[in-house]
Amino acid sequence: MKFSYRSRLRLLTFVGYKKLPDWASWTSGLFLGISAGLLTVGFISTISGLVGLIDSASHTPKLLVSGTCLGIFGGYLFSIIRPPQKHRAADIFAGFFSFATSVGLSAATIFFITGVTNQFDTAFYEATVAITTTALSTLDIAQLTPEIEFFRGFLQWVGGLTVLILGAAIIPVIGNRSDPSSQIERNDALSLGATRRTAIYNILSIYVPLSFSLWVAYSLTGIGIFDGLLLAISTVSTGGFVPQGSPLENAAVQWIAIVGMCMSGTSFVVLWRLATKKIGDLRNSLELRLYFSTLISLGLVLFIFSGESSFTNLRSSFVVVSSAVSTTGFPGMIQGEWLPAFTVLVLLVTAIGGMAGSASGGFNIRSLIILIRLSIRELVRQLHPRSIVHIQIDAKPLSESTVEHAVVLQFLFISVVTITSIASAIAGLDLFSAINASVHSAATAGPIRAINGDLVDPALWSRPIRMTLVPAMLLGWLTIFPVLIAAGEFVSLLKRKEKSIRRQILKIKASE
Amino acid sequence: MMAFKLKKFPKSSNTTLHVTGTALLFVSAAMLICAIIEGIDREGKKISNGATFIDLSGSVLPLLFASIICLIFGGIARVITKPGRLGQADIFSAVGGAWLFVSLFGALPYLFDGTFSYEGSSFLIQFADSLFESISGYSCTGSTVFGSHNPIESHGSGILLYRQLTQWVGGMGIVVLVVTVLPSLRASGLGLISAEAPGPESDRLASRVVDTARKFWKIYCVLTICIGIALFTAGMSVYDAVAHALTTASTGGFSTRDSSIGFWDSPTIEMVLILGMILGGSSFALHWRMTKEYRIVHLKDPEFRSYLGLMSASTLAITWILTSNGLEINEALRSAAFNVVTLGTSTGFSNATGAGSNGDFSSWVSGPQILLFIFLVFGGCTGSTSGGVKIFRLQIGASHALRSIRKFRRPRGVFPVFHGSKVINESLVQRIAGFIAVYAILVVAGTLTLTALDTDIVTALSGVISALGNMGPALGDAGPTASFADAYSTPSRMVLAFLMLVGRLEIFPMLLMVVAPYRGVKHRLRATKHVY
Repeated sequence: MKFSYRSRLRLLTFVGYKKLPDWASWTSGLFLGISAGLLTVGFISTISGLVGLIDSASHTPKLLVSGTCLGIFGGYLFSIIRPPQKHRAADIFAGFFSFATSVGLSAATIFFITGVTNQFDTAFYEATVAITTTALSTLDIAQLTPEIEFFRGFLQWVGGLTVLILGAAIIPVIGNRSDPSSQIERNDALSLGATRRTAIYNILSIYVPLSFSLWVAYSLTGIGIFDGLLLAISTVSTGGFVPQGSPLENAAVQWIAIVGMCMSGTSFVVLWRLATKKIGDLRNSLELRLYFSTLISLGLVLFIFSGESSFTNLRSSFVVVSSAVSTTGFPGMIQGEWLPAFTVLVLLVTAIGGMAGSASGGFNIRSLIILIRLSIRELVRQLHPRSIVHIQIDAKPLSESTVEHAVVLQFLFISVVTITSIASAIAGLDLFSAINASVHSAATAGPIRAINGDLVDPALWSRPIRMTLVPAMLLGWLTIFPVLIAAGEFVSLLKRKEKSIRRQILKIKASE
Repeated sequence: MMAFKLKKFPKSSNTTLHVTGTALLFVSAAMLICAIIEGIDREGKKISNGATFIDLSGSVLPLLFASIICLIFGGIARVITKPGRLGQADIFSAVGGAWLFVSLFGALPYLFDGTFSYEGSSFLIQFADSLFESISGYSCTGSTVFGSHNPIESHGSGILLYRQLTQWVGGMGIVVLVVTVLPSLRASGLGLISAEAPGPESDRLASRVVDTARKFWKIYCVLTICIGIALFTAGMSVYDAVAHALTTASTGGFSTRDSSIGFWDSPTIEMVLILGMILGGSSFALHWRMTKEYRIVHLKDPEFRSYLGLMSASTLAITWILTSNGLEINEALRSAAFNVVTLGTSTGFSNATGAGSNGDFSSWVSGPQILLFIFLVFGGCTGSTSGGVKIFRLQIGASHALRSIRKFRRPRGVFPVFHGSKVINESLVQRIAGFIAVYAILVVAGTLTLTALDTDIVTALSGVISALGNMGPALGDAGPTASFADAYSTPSRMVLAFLMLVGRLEIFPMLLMVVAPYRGVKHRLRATKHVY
């Protein structure tokens, strides 16, 4: 697309922009992401401003004005984009990445404008923590107004929805349908619909009612409608923000949180099948069984080995475990003694996360199953080097590309954790905290525990340390692969541009 | 008459026992040499004191007894068996069995000598410590249970030389050594060497397997001699130079001094060792090619280039961090270079003059520690004596990840996995992926076990990675100046010892060594059932 003076004038005045040619798919994907991000934050900001009216409304004007501005800018950008007939996978991923960046920057601007923090980097960190559903906030909840609480809560809700759409609606159906090897995760068991639109519709038809049900359930415990809403959106998105007044100390709230977190960590394909009564062979799903057996067995391990046999401790153990497995990050403490092995176990299940196609982070249970099966296959191949062994899940053979993607995902996850650990250790974190913080950031989980089980307050970390965790959160939230694919495409684009510039220079030189 | 009877003795075809027996004969010879050296050393001291009787005190008799036991068991095993054709399961069984028995018999001198008998140590702890030290030696790990409670220097020269020799024998490989004297193994010998060799594939230096094994040992011996001469020239005594040359070429890391290389506090000795460790940690096939082609071929190898590049970059980064934390630049560079190379090559020497000194990396800030921690995972090059995952595998892993991303962007493109300019076979890529997956599972399982045995998480995680990579020191409580006896409980040390063997044989042989005996038992049971 050539941006001539006349074209620009046409665009600015909304005259004849429809006659303009389609944008390049990469540019279109990138700008659609940016505009979607701006619109989203604008919408959330406006709603939050209105929510502020129920209280002192101290930040309402700022939220309304900034929300409107962002909305107008995002809407204008959206209106001028001329998307091509088809977007490639790399373009879609680039769109998601630009969405994340624009949400992060615009939400940071709002945090900064409203005076939640007077440092823009901290504001950006808080915005990233919210959108990536990582419970590593540095803000003092007691100082936050209801509208700001709602703003960051709603950001988490959108973050959870985004990761669901990416994981359960985009990735499973993306790629060349006729060639399964070109697909990132071609598996019908993960697909929520034949098309992206159906899948997104199905996700919404689960996500919204689930949020609403949890809201009602929390509200019925007597913690208040507003706090119930905040907890509900935090639970369903596996975000982990807790409203003021420590409502999680209530036993009934804890039970609802356990159920909610377990559901959020479950694949939305499973929830959708349950909702539509298309159960099929769900009972034989290895991933589902492993997910729930991990939850139950680890909960019991914490309960039994902590040496406190009260019912309260049983409940607390399950809060800790479900919070870790679903990567929600609600702060929970067991009643008995916290053993050093518990820290390792909690760190391990946090890194693994919930089921594939859920709102949770980590490299998911499905990938873990594939890796274990791959290890077994390798042992068999050592004994029978010429044997052909297919990796199966639920008696269905997986394509080699799916296995390859699981291996690469593991490699990339470890690489992200390693690089983040190095960066945060150089920035000043001690060795264990660096590894711990990196795993939690890449798995978009929280809160971080010390070896003795105490919760670590990220506010005590320096600003450089916190900034080193931001890329890991973004990569982990977008399941790493898409970001790298988009980055690869970006590098290729730069190379192509460089080549064309060189050619032009050569032409000019030749003409001279 | 006796000889006639032995000739007629029907030999059963059992390669595992035959290889193990031959390996034990080598171990017996090593013990005998050390006994003689201890004897000569004591005799020299007695003569200088005016005494004339033969002195068999100290560790002479324990070493002799252990040598005789190994000779008897090894001899019997070798005489009553003959090598047969080997399947994959038999290869793993033979290699795993040989290493296990050599480690077990290798613990005898320590046990007979009472090396680990100190106040409060029961027989069980003595046995566990002896076994740990033996496995740590043969697997070239270099972790030790000696410490302030039981100083290294309080023991005789023979037992300490034996400790150094275990690493030298284990460095190139016991089975490679066995293959040099067993031409009857033929093609199966290559399988045995491959199962033991570090890296996904073993290099073949000659058409005959026996010649390949002999060439590897030749290069190894020459390298050891060169390092020994260089160390002697740099200021070590003959005994220390030989002892340290043995553990440098093998990238083992045992020392005859409590404070390891820190005892000499000499930059010249450290420079010689850095060079020796780098050569020990790089491919021996490259060294062979260098001697044949009369030129330095190393820099053309992509793995070696990355290996040097990574170590250089980390040295500079650590120097920068240490300097910004108040250390003088020359001291920072010296400490950084030595520690990066010692962990990068999986050797495990320490140049710390004491706990908290400049060379004690466990007292450094966390930035350099985490960089060293990564070297615990990386290890050296394939085809070398070093441990770890190996640079080659990590390069293939990265290339594989890059290929996946490219393939997704261009679904119809054909993107092979490259290593330098060489295209890597898909089956090798899959094998490496499988290896990394098994390695990750073992690290997680090991760390969980150790933390369940009351070890703190950093010491547990780094200890497991150090054991699997045959590194030696770890982080946390198991730093370069610490003793593993203080950092880990006895059960934890046994877990680590098992992981050392698993790591030395690159995981699979140790995990699969029971398959062949299991199949044999199953087959016999079936046959018995059929008869009755």
